[in-house]
Amino acid sequence: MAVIVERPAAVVEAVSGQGYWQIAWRRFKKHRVAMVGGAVILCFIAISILAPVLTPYEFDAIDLYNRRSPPTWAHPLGTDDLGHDVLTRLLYAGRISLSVGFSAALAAALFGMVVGGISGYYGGVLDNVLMRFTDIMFSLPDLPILIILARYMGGSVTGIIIVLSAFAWMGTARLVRGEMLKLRAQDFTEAARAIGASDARILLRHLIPNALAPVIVAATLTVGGAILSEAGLSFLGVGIQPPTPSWGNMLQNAQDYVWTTPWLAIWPGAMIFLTVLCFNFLGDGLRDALDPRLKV
Amino acid sequence: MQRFLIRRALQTVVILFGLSLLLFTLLVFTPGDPVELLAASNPDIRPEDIAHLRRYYGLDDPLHIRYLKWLRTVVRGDLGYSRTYGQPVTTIMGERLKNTLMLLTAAFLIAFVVGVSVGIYSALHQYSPADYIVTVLSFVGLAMPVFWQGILFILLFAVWAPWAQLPGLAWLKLPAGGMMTPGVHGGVEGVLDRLRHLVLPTLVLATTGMASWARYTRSSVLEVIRQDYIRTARAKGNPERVVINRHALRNALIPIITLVALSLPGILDGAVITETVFSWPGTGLLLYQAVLGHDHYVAMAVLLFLALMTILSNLLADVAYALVDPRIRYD
Repeated sequence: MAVIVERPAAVVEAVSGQGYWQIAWRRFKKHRVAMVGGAVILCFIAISILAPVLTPYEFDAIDLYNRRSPPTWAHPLGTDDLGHDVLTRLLYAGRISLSVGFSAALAAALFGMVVGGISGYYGGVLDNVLMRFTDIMFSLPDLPILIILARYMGGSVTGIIIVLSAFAWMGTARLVRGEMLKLRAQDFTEAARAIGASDARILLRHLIPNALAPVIVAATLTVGGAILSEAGLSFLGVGIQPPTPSWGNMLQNAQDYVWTTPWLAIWPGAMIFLTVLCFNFLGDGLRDALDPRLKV
Repeated sequence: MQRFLIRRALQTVVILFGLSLLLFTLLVFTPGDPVELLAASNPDIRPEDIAHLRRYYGLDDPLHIRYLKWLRTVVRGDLGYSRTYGQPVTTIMGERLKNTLMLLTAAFLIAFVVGVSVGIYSALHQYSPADYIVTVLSFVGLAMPVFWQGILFILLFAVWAPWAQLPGLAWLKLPAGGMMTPGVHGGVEGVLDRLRHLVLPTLVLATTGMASWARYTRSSVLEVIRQDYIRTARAKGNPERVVINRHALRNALIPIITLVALSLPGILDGAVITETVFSWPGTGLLLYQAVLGHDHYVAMAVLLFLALMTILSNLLADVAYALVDPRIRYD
């Protein structure tokens, strides 16, 4: 997406006396694709939460007399090989996939901020050690290791979240470290130190909030990435285990019946695709709104 | 540069060593073991047989003994013996590596050539309908789950393939998986058969790279053609062709080279899933089967191969960066 910085508007913003977040929100609203992305995501969250109200079936209700049925009035998206209602499973799977995505991104962002913050603020040997560790984590092949780790964790939701966030924090750590180096040298940090503020206070009160914009953008993009990874792992059979539905394991199941009941493969994949697409749009819009100079 | 390379080589050895220890431990402690799988498939098995098998495979040894045994054979160039295939791991790996490299090379070439040229075209025609289409498609490509795209392509090109009804186009119904049709080997027919099997996995594997490289090339070219030296090149009266090829593209491609090397590991990851979807007999499918079947030596071999490839592509990114941009120096 092209970044269009309108100079006159920026000047108006500066004199209008609005806060940073208000200005950001105004800019964000102009980013139509990101607004649509955000709206779709909110809608997906809403229908996953409301799943028990929206559908009369249980997600693990087996109906052996009604297996792999094509779409009907009773089952708008058909049923799978055990007679589960596909629409019901799709909604409940959204709960799992979205919460895995959000939790993994949040955990990764927090961990990345801690590592990057310490590294950039204290510098020296600590910085060296932490950044070499970050480099090493960056240079590892994630998917194969994720497969081993996820299998080791036995396919629990918490396990998957831990495993995914363990491989998603490095970008944030580097970003935050860079911001820290920049902010540490600025006058307001000096001033805070001069009046006797503690390290923790300077970090938490002054530095971290100023470095938040790139972290938010990176975290938004990480949600999409984590949902993709979870789906990939579940698709390979080492992620979320049935009967708990996730979009990835629904797709794995559907793959076995591609020749006879192809519609089973369409919906879970479409949900993953749309969700990830919307998070990417949202991330782009947030980047333009929060910090137009930023390139993640 | 030499010192830099030596340091990185040492680092690589250390990382691989640490990683092998970690992965070995995880594999050993993952619930379930091969003898249990064996026992489950044979109701007549006696407890003393199980005990015998466990001793035979060294499954009762403590972890560090098992690791050291494994490490000793690996250092000798022997990767161990596969329990499921009943063959030395080196033999299996050789065959699988060839297949994986074939798929990777094909996908990489397509992704690079198409991605970069589309990106350049799109930047030089900014805000044209073509540019708009490229932007939309690259967003689609980046959000597309590899496995879903694989299934959709199988549905479209192998199961449904309506165009195959037309006279003379039956060959356009592509195979849904595998590497060759049983019974077809050798000669022109054999080569064509392989190529037909290669088409779908290659396209699926190339998608992510194509999309991201197109996007980055576009923004890189856009950034460069706004620079003063491009204006200078035009002001000197150079023809547009020279300005673009000689001045703009050369500079715009510097960051792309690094980016391409950095995204090689992503393609390796994609290959694991692509091979699984299309039953392409490469290292990715091997890893998947080895992990599910508790074939530890095979899993270790593939994992370390993938780790080595990943680390090497990161190194390649750094070296390439220094080679194409004389301003970059490593101590």
